[in-house]
Amino acid sequence: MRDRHSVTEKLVALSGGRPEVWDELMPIVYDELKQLAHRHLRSERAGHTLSTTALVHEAYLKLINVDRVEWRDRTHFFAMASRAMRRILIDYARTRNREKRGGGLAKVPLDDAFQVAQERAEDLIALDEALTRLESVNERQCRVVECRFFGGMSLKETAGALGISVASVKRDWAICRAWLNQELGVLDS
Amino acid sequence: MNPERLQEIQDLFVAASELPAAEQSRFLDGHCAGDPDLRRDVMALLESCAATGRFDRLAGEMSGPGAGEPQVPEVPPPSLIGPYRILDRIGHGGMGAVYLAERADGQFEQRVALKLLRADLDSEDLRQRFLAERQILAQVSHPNISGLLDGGVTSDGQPYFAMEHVDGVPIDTYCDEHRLSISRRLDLFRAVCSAVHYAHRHLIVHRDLKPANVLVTPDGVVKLLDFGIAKLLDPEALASPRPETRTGVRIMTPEYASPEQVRGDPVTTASDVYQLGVLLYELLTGHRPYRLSGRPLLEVERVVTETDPDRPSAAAARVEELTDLDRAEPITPECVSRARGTTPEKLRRQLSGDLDNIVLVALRKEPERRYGSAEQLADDVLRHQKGLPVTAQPDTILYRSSKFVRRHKIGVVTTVAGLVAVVAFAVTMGIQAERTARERDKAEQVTAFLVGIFETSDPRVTLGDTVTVREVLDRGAERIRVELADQPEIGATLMQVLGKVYHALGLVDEAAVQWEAALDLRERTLPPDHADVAQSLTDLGMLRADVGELEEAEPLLRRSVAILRSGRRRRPVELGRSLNNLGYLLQVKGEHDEAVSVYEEALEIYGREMRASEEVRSGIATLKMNLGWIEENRGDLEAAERHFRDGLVIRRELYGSTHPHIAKSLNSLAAVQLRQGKLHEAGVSVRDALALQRRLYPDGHPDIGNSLLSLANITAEQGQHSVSDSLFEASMTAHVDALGADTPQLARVKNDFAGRLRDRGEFAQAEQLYRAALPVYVEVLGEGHPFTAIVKGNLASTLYALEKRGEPERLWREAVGVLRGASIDQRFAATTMLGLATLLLDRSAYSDAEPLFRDVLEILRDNLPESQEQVVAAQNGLGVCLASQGRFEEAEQLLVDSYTKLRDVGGFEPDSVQRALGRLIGLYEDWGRPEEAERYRRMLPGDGR
Repeated sequence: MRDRHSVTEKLVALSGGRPEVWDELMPIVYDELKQLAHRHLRSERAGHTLSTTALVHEAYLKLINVDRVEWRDRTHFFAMASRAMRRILIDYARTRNREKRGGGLAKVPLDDAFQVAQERAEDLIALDEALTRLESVNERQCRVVECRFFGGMSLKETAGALGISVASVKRDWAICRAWLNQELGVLDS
Repeated sequence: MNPERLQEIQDLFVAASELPAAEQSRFLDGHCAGDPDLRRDVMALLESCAATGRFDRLAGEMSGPGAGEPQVPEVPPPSLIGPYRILDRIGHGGMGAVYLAERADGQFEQRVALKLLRADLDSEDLRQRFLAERQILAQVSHPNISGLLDGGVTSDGQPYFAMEHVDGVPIDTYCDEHRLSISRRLDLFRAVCSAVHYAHRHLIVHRDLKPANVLVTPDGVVKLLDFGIAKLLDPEALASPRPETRTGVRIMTPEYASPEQVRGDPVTTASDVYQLGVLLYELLTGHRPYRLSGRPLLEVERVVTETDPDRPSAAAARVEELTDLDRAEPITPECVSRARGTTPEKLRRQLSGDLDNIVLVALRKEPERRYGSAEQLADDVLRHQKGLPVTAQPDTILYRSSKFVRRHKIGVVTTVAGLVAVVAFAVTMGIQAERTARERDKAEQVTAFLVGIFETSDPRVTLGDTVTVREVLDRGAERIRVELADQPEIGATLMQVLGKVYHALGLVDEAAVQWEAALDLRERTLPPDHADVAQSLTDLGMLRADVGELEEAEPLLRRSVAILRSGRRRRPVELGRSLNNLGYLLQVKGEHDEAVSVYEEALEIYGREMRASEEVRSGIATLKMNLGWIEENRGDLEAAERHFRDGLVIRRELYGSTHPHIAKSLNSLAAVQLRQGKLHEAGVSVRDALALQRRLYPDGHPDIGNSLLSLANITAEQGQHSVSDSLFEASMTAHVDALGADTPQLARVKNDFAGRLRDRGEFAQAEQLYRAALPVYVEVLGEGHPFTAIVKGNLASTLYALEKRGEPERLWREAVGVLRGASIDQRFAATTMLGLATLLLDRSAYSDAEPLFRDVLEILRDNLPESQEQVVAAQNGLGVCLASQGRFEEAEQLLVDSYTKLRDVGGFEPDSVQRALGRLIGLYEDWGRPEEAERYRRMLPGDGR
């Protein structure tokens, strides 16, 4: 088991204005989330019912001594986990995509595979590419989408993590939702 | 695209999206003149905003409960599912969609509710298990359960169920629309319980009971939907053959989830009992125990597993502004009570007590402490409806004390200090040490005997039904005085008997007149060591003791014992009785050690009797009862209960079940049960006793007053305040009628009543009662008696809560002076010292407070769980004292330790936790360790969490 104390300390330091700690903390959060994602996906076999929110919360509980942190620290953790979640999901989606196309790699064992339906995998990759484009023109909006979409964070938590107002988050989210639907494609109804 | 251009598009999009669709085009025409690209980009955004896109679908699928506002796309229903033709969509939820359907192959005409679940059964194994489970569910056949008709798996692996289609509305809506009374709601609820219990017997757990799954048809029949289906959504649960299994977090409805579901622990029938509790809560109060929608899972877990819901009677009086969208109007006490055909005040009264207790037992955090089954829950509800005692009891006194501490605004130290004294005192003052009462046992026989005598002695007197025993006695007394003046021996005997009858009827003054006359006659006509003189001394002494004249009583009783000890004839029965009565007096005076040795002497004398006559056994029973009270007083409750039960057993053998002694023993047992927190058992004991006494005595009788007092204390513990208040008043009336206004019995009722009022924050009323009681204690027991000191302490903490100055300190100092080292449970002393020390700490008199805190810790060093709050408070206080002298290392240990306990143990008022934290920060600042101070300062509640 990882040392909860030191992870908590790092998180408090990060919120306390030491951004360099981000680089120490991120790999820990990423590894934990990745393991959790594996376990969940293995047992539930349901890519399309995966709850990213639940995973992020679970990671939080495992890594952080919750008595020791404040609300602001928590939002920072969630924002960080949202970033990690994005990478994890996209990695899985890419793996899945390569596998489907017979990309010449060894077949990923079933238990270890991310069971996102093929279409979802393509949507996720498209989303990731769209977000990368968005980041180059408006980084803040990209972060809002990460928090909301990959971290399942509420408007208020997102606002807290990014240090902006709830109204701004709401506005950004409305814009991004419309734009991402446009980029990824509207469903026929 | 450059950022400026993007900004422009976004601004226009935001502005336009706030307009009605019809005006958007004109708005853009005005703002994008000459820039068709800009107009096209904004229009595209507006269109994709109105539509459902692939991003929405992803978002809907990726987010779990609490993920804000996921946009779940409307997927058009398939036209065929298995052999069913879809007719209409009638709902959707976390589990999937529900359709109205019929058999496509025309095998049945019945329309069904068809549920298409959002779960993949992508292995043959899971598919088999699903089908097996479906078989089990299909066996459930109950009029209140919507039966499973069919189920299968579609070609692409989606499971579905066909169920009886129920034309009904959710039970909460049904109850509100029909303005059903609480009683009708309880009837419906019991029907729900019986259906759940039926399923439990078939080892099927519902797991998702909530109003949406409990429908009521237009004919008023309850129908439960989706029984056991939650399990089928959870492959992990499905894979387990046992009924109790883990159910994934996603499947639950957070506001109805039991603590074990939230934690991911195994789910059993106890979870359904919990969810029934939530349902009952909502049906009764219009509120849910917790409001959780939209809160993140972590928060849900914390709230459900750690916090206690308001009791229903309090919830019904709450105004709740809802933030979620399912109900627009705030819930108010007015609309809640109107929907139940009553008024807010009446509703609160209906819910408080039994129903509060029943709901809270069902909602307990620990599954094993809830009702054992849905049936038991329904039974208790029925008992309440029939006006019978319910089994649901609030948590123990200790547990409730900690809640009280949490509720109250004044400092935790003070409240704890006061509270313990009150609760303990309520019982301490309950010394009901018993006189030997052979004669009283025979009161009825004596009455009959006397009536017989009077009838034969005066044949002209015909006793009609309207003539009371009292009138007969008064007439007889007069005749004895006048007619037997020249026959002192017979006269004295008859006076003695008459006095006993008066006394047995609670007519104390009349009894005293007779006994004084009898003693006077006997002392004048008999030898000084005659047993009859001893008898008269005992009777009169006990009567004096009864009315509080302890100093007058003591020489009478000692003389009685001395006569019998020295008499030439051995009179073991009389001596044993006389010793018992002396012991009683000593016990009342608080001289416990001598009392015990006197009692033991009596037991030894009785034990030497070869043949245990009825009188000897009766005497042993009485001694057991008295020893029980001493143990109770010393705090050994188990020993006390054992003595009481021993006494009760002997007495039942001797007298059967309808007898004043049985009533008295039951009351004693009740008092110790009350103190042990066995409220229900205590209530049963007292009610039995009271029923007996009402048959035996007139209303104004001290024993009835005592029983009413016990019942008042029990109902107060059960939270039935209005019942309890009127019982206290009835008890006072009974005591005043029996013995007059200034008796210790009455003062004791006032003390207990005051304690309850103070518990509820009604300090001014409490003060009045304590002030009425205290002079009686001083008068009867003296300034130096521990009980007087305890009442002083109680008054002091009440005045302190009222922020009075001067008097609390004086009273506490006097109380501490008496209680320290007194022959009484030293925890009473600790309580009082802690109160004084807290007061001293408040006015920074550290050097005065320090030794007191140390003494408290010394007394409580065994650290019994019930003293934990006091220990923590004393440690914290001592820490502050030491810090003030610069003894930082010692202070740090105490302050950290007590803060940690306050924070981690739970049950403490947030204010006191904060205060302890504040003191810790102060310590580090004074110590010159700002970084430590800062570390703790960060734990202070920050921004808007």
